[in-house]
Amino acid sequence: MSAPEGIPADGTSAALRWLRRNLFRSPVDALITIVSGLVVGYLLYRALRFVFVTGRWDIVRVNLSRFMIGNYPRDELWRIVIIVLAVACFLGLALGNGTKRLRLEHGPPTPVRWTRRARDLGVRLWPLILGALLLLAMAETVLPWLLVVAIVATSAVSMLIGERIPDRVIVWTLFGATIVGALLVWVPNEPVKAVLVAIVAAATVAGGLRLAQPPAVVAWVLLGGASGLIALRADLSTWMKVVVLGLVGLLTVAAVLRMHQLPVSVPFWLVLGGLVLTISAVRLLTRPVGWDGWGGLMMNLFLAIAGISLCFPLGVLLALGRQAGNPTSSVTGGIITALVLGGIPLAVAIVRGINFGDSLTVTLLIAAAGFAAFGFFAGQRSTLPLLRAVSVGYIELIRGMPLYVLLLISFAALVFFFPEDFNTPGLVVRAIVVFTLFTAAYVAEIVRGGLQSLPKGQTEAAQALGLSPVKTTFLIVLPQALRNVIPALVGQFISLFKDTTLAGAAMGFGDMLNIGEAIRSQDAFAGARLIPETTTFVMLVFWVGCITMSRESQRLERKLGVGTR
Amino acid sequence: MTTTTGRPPPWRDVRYLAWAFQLAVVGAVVVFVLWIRNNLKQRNFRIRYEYLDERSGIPITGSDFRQTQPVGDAIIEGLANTARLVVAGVVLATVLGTLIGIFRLSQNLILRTAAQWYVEVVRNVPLIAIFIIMYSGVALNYLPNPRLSLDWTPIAVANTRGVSTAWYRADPSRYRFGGLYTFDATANWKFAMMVAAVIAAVMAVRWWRLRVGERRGGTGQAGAFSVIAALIVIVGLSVAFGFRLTTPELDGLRTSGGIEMTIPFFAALSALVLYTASHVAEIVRGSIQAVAKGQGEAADALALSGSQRLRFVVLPQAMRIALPPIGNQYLNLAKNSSLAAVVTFPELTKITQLLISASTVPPVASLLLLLGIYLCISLVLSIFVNLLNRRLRIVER
Amino acid sequence: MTERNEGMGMSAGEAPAAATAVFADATQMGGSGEAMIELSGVVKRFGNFTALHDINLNVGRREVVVVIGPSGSGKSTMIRCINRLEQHDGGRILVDGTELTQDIRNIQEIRRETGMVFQSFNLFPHLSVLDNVTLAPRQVRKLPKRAAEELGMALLTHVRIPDQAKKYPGQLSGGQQQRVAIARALAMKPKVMLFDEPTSALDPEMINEVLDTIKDLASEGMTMIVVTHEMGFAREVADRVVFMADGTIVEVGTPEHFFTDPQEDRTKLFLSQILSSSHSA
Repeated sequence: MSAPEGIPADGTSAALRWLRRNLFRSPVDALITIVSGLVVGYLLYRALRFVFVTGRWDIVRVNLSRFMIGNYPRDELWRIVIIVLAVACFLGLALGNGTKRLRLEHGPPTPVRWTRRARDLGVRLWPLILGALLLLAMAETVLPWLLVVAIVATSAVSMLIGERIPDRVIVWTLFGATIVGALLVWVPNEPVKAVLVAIVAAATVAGGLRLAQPPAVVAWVLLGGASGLIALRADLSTWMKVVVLGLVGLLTVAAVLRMHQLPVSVPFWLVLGGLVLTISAVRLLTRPVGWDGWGGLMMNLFLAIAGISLCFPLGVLLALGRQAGNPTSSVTGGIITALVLGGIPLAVAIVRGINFGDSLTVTLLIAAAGFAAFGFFAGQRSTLPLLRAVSVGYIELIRGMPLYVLLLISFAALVFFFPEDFNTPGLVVRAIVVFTLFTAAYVAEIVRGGLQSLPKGQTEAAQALGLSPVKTTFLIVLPQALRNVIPALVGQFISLFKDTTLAGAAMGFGDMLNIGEAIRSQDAFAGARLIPETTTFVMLVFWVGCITMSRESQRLERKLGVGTR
Repeated sequence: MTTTTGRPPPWRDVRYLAWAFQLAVVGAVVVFVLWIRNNLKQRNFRIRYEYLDERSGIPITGSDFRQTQPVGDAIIEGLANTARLVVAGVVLATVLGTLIGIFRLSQNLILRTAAQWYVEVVRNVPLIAIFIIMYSGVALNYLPNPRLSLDWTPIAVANTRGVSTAWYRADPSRYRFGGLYTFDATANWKFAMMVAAVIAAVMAVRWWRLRVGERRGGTGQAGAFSVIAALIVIVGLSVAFGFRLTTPELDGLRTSGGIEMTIPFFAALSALVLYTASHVAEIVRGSIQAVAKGQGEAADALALSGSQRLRFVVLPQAMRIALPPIGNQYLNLAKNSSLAAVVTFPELTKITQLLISASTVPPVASLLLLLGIYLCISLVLSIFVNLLNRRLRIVER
Repeated sequence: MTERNEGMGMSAGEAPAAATAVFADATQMGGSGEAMIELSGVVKRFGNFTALHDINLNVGRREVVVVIGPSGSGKSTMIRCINRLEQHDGGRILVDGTELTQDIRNIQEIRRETGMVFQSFNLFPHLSVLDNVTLAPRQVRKLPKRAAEELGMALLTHVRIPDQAKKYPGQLSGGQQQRVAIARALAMKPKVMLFDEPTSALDPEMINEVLDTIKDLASEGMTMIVVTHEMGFAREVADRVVFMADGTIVEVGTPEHFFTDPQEDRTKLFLSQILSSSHSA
């Protein structure tokens, strides 16, 4: 006679069988279970006791906002809110559009009910959700709650927009939003501002209704014009003004001449718009306080983002340099690309007036140099042993050095490497320089892996069609190679994010970990030996961020791996 | 439509263009370096290293180092400390990491889950925070003061002055790890020599027995002979050098015997080991899975009860795959040892910082020297790892 | 009557048999007018291994030359030398009068005028089908976007897949991908088309659609060199068949001569091996 479902014939319950299979497979296994159970149990007990019983968490609760944003003035918080929402919007758009492209390239996914989707999301993102709830529980006002809700809403909405709304609408919106955003930040508060914003908004809508895409030419002309205008108003000698204006004019014309060949698309405008808006965002944030007002988690995030984005040109450049290639073609293509790419940050720097004591200017100049170098070298890809040597030399040199020591050097000694009339750049800038140069070597290795994973047939097909090496690199090789290594790049970003804590320790400014020292020496908490509490809190926040990013990138890697190749 | 049978003009010739470009790049780098050099000259900046002979004037905690000793000695002491940290760290991290990696694939729920959580937590946390927690949280907050020492004789004794464990060494007198009691190199050299002799003997015997095995068939009992050889060497050298086992014993407020690790060293070592082990665990797990998948024996290989198969079939192959990335982790460990400065362990970086803040040395020159030393360490380590890689392949065959 | 020995660069002193071949000499051409492609004394080495020994071949305008031979015979290497995917070590290569030298300008010109279709298609997976086709005309010939897209759609219609224009290569079948590759090469309006085993990577049911496309091209008068194993195709479409082995051209002739009355022993051996397998016409 057959036993009813769920009850095995020999009578043991499912629970017992589960126990036996997982914990008590054999006598040895049972012993292991007991011993390890005791050890793990003890450790857990001590940890939980610390967290819930003996730990004095008031210091964290009271100083939560200092941990997050340092000493930033509280009445300027709206700036941070705007930027955070803008970032959420951007990321949402990028993700949504990326999903759409993946769907186009690999076919539509199996449809899934939204409840199931929500549940999957919960399972995936539980560290993030728990962490956010924990932080919110410690918040003393209702504002953080509103902010979190706003962030989630913005991301969700922009993801949907990125997926559903046709590309041209998105592109025009990005175009308009970028210009309006830049205007709002950079133009001083006068009636002119409102008029300009209104004009641009109207032009965007009108253009969107008529044309398929905003011509990239227009963007460059606008940038060139803006740079020229502000150069005129800047505090420079006449001779310098002439030179700068000439340069800007040349760049704009060169860009216009070549730009019409570039296939532009949503990613292009995302990147371009992101660039402009990032620079504007930094200006927006630093206007009231300069660099010293920053701190906390905000500082770590900024250092990491600045590091990974600025190092990109140099890193890709090094990877290309390290790879063998095919016969060269025009040098002029490389030069023009370099001038065009380097021109934007350069123009903006000139716009603000080249004041080397100002950290932002130096950052921009670094960006300009990096982009220019990238453009020039990407214009030539060949079997060049000397180039290879230089690239390999740099990469292996940097990879042999500890980041902490490099930061110490930058703190103490970087100023010696600059000319005498150079004002010492601020601490933050020096940290960014180090992170950029350091991460570039690692990114170079990652990108090199991507370049090598590309089948040789791709470059051969491009060559057979008559594409020059510049174009082959830009249009065929790099898009594919970079897309293949996005998970590894995210991993590098996570690494960098964790390493930003070293900057505070080496240079003494108040990133999230180091600001704990200032917090601990407050009157209310001095001498209470609260290092474990503050450090654990910082560890928790970092853990939530890193594990979320890490899991998402693994998931992305699995998704990208699916597809024909 | 051009018909040329002669050589094209140089500005269109593919080969000349390639070389012109390369030279331009190199030229740019050279110009850049010259510019920097020019700047340094402008600021009257000289990198001189005469300071190495001057009086150091810094105290190094946990050691007998006298302030009157020259800077060069201080730096060497720092280097010795770094070496201790790195060597101990590498050994412990490999052992712990391999174990955790295997646990992650275990059938036992507790082992598997604990290992998984360990790896996922430690890998996603900043390393410097782990250093701080181990130092302030564990060592300073947890360990009792000497009156109430944790007395686990003969295995270990722990209090706020240091952690002592049993050790096997030639000089039975008190020995503190984390500083030198007089720069007594001989005890260290003896130990190092013994380790080297054991390794050399084992390798030689293995090679010999494998050759025998090739001629006669079978493995030539390489394993058994290696063990015997190792034992012979150990016993022989122990007698020659006077090695013996010393255990820590609590003697009032002092600990005698064994080897004592200063708190900073203990904290630094545990942080490095915990962090590196988590990476090693992931590598080991990945390579075991790769091998097991390739052999289609995933289920069997992953069961601890099948430990024999694991040991003889899967692990050797897996270790071969895993060695290059693990070697990379060793390099990272060496670089991360510079963070021990944060917990006041007087390794190379910390000593340099002390010297700088005592104004004994020019900051730039000494920091550049520091960087140079780390580069050398990295180079040596990576050469060593490469050699090990190659040797592992040859011996196994 | 035949000058076979002189022109072929083969071992001299072989007694010429009475030949019904019209084009026994590889340097003589079919088609109309002067040579579109000239290879004389071409040598290619990979390290110590010589892949091509003294190749002499002329291809006339509007001529279809099919190259067959066992693997490792150097057929692919030969056509890859023509558009400089491989650099030849000796001899001369001329395309429509332009010699392939170290001169960048020549190289670029020749690459513009030769279109190539690869065995593994090599479509750009991150671009749509239409973008794949229009990329080169827009970037290299500086065609404005609209004109390029019109050209692209016309070509896609020509290869009978206009409805796939907005899709991505990953969504197409092998036969469709290869036809897109053909359209992509044609978009540059080349004077010569080079096919490197275009159907070898395809499933059998898709081979015919691609072969039909190539046949259409031939009948429209495109100058072509096709490296292939498809004997039926060779018989139907070729003006001349070239048999290569061990880096040299062994025999040349019209399809009729070639398949019914091959002269060289090597040729006979190869044909017997090929035709006895399922690869029959």
